[in-house]
Amino acid sequence: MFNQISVYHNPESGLIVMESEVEQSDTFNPRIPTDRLCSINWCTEGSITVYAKDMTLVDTYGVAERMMITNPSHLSLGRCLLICASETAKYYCLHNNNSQEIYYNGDVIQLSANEERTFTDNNGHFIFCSLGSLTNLNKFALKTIDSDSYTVTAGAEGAIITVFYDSTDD
Amino acid sequence: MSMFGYNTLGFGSIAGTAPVTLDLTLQGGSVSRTNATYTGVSIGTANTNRMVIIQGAVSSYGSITAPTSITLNGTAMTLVRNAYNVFIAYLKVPTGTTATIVISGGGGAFNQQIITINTVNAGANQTSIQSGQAAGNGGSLTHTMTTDPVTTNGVFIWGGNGFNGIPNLSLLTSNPSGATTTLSYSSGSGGSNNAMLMGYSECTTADSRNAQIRNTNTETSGKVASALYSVFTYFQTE
Repeated sequence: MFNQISVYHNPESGLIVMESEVEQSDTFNPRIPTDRLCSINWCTEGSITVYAKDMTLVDTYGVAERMMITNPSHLSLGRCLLICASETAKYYCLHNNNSQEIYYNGDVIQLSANEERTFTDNNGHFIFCSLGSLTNLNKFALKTIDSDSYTVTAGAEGAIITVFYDSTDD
Repeated sequence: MSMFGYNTLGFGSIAGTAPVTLDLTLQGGSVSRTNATYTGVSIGTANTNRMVIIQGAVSSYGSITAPTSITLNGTAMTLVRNAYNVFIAYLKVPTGTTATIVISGGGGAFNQQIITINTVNAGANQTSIQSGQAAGNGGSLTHTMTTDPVTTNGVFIWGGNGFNGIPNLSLLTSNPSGATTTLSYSSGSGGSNNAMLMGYSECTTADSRNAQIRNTNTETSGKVASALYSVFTYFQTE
């Protein structure tokens, strides 16, 4: 069973972040054929075990761990099954809602309370906050990194952020 | 304020601008369209602030991919699309009374309603895409988009599709004006366990209001969940 809601959506660009309250299972579909995912997927609560379409175990991912499917043969099967491995889980899927031709790549980062982090190779990339807040970015808000040395500071409750970019042409 | 949108003050006249009125208008009724080119589609009276909005939902069973591209007179419409079964597209179109609409990327035919409103904005003020399942044996699932605050010249335009189990859809809103249905197809019509419902609600207050769609699954075994796919938009004139 799942309920899914867009917590961030830019209809013009198609960028969307869906939040799911997962009680049992869900699936996500990489493009066919493909050797990489077009989406970035992660949890902020609980854990999720990912299986390939042929039910080969891929891995179990906990909070702030980007779900990766590194075996191309598993990706080529075209569908992955996500099983909630905890009582419940809250997971996010960042992708493009307008086109399957657009790929995103990046990192999911957990920051402790008031922790600072400086990004030096991410000018032009985006930051999305899915838990807690940064001093200059609220939960479910998006910001563009606009310098070669960009420092963020987590709020008093810490934060989970996704630093990502459009990797279509990589 | 005098007529013609001019404010007359004691020290002379200051040119003002008449407020934009929403003027929500349904252009015709429900029309089934699939991946194709449609010419001469009525989009109403030309207006510099006109926004053309297309609501779309399927009345056929199962998961039908929503269109990935809709152009109107050659310009791409902005799509608020669920992956399946329901979408809303919009575009500012100041001129013309008819249009050529090209739909592509969809998985089949969608019932569509064209709505026009007036807004100075380039797009929707808020959107939401939601999906989920209502458990069997009377389970229900409600999708909600809340806008805080709305304005008295705002409008929610939203809807959804339900299938599997026995879906029973309803449009709800905290707006005093209630919800007006534009597209509907009920579970059981033609023996199908598929339903769609889309509509709008004009805002009459300036506070927090919501639009909702609810799927109540009346299958009795308790074993068959009913899917709900929905999309929401909120527009306001300024």
